[in-house]
Amino acid sequence: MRASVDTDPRDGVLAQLSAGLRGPRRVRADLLTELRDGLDDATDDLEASGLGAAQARRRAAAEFGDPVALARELQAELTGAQARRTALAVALISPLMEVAWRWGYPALMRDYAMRGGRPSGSALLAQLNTIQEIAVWIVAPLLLLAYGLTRRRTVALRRVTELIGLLAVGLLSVNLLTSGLMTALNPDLRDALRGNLPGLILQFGSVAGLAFLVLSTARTVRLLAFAARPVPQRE
Amino acid sequence: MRADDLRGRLDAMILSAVEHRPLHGYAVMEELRARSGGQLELPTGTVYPALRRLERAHEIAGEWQTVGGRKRRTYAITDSGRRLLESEREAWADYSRLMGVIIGDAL
Repeated sequence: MRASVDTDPRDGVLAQLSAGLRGPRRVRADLLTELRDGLDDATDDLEASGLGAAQARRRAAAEFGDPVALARELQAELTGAQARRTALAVALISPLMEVAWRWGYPALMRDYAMRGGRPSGSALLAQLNTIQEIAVWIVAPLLLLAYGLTRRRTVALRRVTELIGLLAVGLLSVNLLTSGLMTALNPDLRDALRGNLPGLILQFGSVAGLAFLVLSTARTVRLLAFAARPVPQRE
Repeated sequence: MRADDLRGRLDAMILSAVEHRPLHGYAVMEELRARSGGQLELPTGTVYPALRRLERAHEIAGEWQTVGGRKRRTYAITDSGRRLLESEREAWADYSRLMGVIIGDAL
């Protein structure tokens, strides 16, 4: 059987790079296109210097470097890109949700807010709400700071990316716990939203915002775990 | 010259390669090889993480352009990149002078 006689060794390099890279779809696709272009350019150059097509492809693949090591370096950039998105989203959306919670709900769903949506009737909810407020106003500026730091070449990207993941997970945990409890312990939400279009919009916006933040944070944490996986041992 | 010796200076080398005109990744490597008289032995893929790192730091700006009938991601130096290159040149001159004083006679 003729095995791999016609296989393009550059495809093997690209397959290894592709397997080693995860992250924001457009950034990843751009990166892989650029790497493919680099291999094509190297091949053209080698052919122009007199090598045959097959030999030029082999040489271009061999001279490209270790795809596993290269993918790990590039993955740091992809993970950083996702972390920056998350940092910005959490830092901007969380305070907006807090403003909506503090002023929007009492204004648009007065009865609901008075009976527990705002924790006027429960010491536990009042405490949780205070924790949430403090957490938002402390963590949001820290995330903005971390966002700025990832743009500087002098800081260790991996460390700041991990910090962003940690801050985002911490803040969202507090948000989910408090907002979940407040909704669960309050039986009046459905009544407050019936025929109340502004209230519905506010509620939908809050849930959508929270869902977006959870997804973005989960992506960052997943990429951090992927980037931290052990290096495959070479034979 | 060994690859490990060069990696620490790769960012400055890339900035100098794109100092006067925008280049795509492989052209950057070719420019560096040409300047070194063929002594540069870095794997060609090495340049891509460095380009992305410099772009993130706004030292260079990347954009997709058509070069020689093909779409290529090309990189141009920014004002911030020029300042960084200048400071890298000064740092290298200082280092070079210092090493010349310390070990120059032994060479």
